[in-house]
Amino acid sequence: MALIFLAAFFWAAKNGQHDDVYTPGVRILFDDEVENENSEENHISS
Amino acid sequence: MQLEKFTYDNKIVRNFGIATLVWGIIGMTVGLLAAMQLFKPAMNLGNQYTTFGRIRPLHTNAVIFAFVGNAIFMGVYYSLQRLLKARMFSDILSKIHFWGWQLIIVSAVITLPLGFTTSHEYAELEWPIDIAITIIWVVFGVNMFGTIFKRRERHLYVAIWFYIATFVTIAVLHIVNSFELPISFMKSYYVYAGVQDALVQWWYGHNAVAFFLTTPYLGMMYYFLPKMAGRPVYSYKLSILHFWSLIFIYIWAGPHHLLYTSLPGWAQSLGVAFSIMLIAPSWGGMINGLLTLRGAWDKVRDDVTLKFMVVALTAYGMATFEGPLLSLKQINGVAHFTDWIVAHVHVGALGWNGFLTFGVMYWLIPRIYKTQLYSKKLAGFHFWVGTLGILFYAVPMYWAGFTQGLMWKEFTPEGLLKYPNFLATTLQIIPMHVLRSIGGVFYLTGVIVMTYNLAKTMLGSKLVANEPAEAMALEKVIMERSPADKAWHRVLERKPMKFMVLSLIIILIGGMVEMMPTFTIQSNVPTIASVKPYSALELQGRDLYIREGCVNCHSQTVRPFRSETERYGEYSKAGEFVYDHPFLWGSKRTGPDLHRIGGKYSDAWHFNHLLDPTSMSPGSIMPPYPWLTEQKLDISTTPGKIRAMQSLGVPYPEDYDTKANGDLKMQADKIALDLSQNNIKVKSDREIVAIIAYLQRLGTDIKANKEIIPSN
Repeated sequence: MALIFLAAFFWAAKNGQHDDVYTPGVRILFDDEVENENSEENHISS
Repeated sequence: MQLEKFTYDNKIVRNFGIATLVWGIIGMTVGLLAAMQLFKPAMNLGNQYTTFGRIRPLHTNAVIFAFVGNAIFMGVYYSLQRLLKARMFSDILSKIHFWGWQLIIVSAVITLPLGFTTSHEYAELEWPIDIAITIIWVVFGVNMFGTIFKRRERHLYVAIWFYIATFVTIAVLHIVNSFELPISFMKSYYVYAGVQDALVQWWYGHNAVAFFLTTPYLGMMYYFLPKMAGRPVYSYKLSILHFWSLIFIYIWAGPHHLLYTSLPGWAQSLGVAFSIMLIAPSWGGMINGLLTLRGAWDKVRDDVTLKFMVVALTAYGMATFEGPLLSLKQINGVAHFTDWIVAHVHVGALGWNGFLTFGVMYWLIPRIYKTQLYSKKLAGFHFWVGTLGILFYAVPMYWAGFTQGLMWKEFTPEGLLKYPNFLATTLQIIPMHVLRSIGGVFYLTGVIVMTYNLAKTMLGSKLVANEPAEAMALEKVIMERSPADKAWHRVLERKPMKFMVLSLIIILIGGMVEMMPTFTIQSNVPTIASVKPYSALELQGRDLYIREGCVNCHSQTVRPFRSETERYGEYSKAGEFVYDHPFLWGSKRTGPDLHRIGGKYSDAWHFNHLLDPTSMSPGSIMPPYPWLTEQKLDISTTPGKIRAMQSLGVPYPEDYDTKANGDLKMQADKIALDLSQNNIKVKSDREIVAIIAYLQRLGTDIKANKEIIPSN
């Protein structure tokens, strides 16, 4: 069992290098308020 | 790639919010009434509908399903739409969900005081209401998953993982703990009996805490706290680790409610071990939340919503440390059945659930009304009075718990019980119950002030019923732009069905490992030859015991401690409960354990005690039950009950349903005769005769035969 956890540790340490751990947290903070009566309406839409 | 314009439904959020406030006040007022009954029996108000035994379940159901439930839906409907950048899947389903849920609560308010109860804690509602709950829960699920499928944000944020786990697990818990055989419109018997029924109930009961009081609130915390603080959650990796370990480990903890009972030892040990392990993922959630405020602690000083969130997370940490400690057998031996458990529950309920709800409501109501909170000062007052309320609730209850638990265990130097009279331990803690009620008054005051504050906020502005939003539609095929998108969990976050199925598998494991052997391996519940089914009169009496809610104050399971065998008699064996549909082990001793009460007191004593407890126990806080001497026992239900028990495996003789009432009348006449010889005149057809018969039967089967023959 100790060997399994040791292997898991090495896997976790190695595998994490390319992870993007930043986006999921900040993604929810960018909520643009849509104002009814201004120029934000001029987006491309169809 | 199109920019799509749509709107968020805020009306449903507002509606669930109002329901949260209304039911919060009602549920907590009932709680306050119950608390006062525990030091002033006159607060039982002299009628059968408001006795402690009938309204305690009303309090628990109201605060859990009505207050917390509506708060969950308010928070989920608000956050889910914005996290997925999509309006709820169906406005009609939203409305059905809202009104259906309120109707369910109203049916609880009506049926519980009338005594229609299954007796399973937090699952007391009878079978027709269970069906309604299932339907509305499915409506909620369809609405939630429908929204997930039409989302414009591909990856599911951590809050949604918690909402998904909540949905699947509550569905499983509710269905399994609702396997009841109906015998009339508002009465059913659980298909499980005794030890197995206890295990199912507390697998359910603990996981109701886990997946109704915890996971949806963790989900809300993950959305609302970063929004309030303007900071991202501290650690994405921690959220992954603690989410999966939390939902896996929590399920196994149920047996910690049954320590030192006749539940098989291996199941108890599993419950203890997993409860200790649970500290890690629970604190993972707390840490992730609190550390989100790194660099933003100055905001907490000025923002009352953040104050509520910080106290909520701290209370969550306290309760999730205390819970595992209470699961250690040595500590449990002192705490079980005492007010210590009540203190623990309310730290979590008032601190974590209450305060997080308040923080979220103070934040989102002004936002959906596009205005400011009416009064920051009143909100600040609420924070302080609520905190005081928690303190005045918890500290006296700890004190009462330690006092009573230790008094029960104390021996004189000669080896006799120091407090052989249970009543002495009850009277000792009455002052603590008074203080606890003061705590409740403070807490309720806070909620009333909040309701006023939010009402003024809403009335001073107009609801933005449909909040405009815009977002790009999802591309049909994801282009994995970076290695991060290939990470296994990131892949899982964009596959909601796989996510749901994986969660479902994970939460099924613990229950199956603990329940299947208990149900299938006979040696786990050794049968005892001398244990026989209840007589017809005793069965009716048992149903009256359930109706009056006696199980809310009296336990029926003697633990293998010398302090208990001296006080009550032989400790309880698994085989004694095989015909108990449902089990009635109880979880609190406001009054003494009753498993060995049979034959200890005369019929006359029981009659007088039920009619007026203080006549036999001066100073007792038990309410009087005079209606039991006035109401006639409804014996038309006897044949149906016998047949139901037979179909559940209780070995009554064939065709006994036709003979049962004959035996019932004979036994009732005998008791009435015995009573009349003690100068008590009561007709043998009254309900009190049935209850006396049941009480006199309790625990007597194994004294009847000293030799216990295990059969398997």
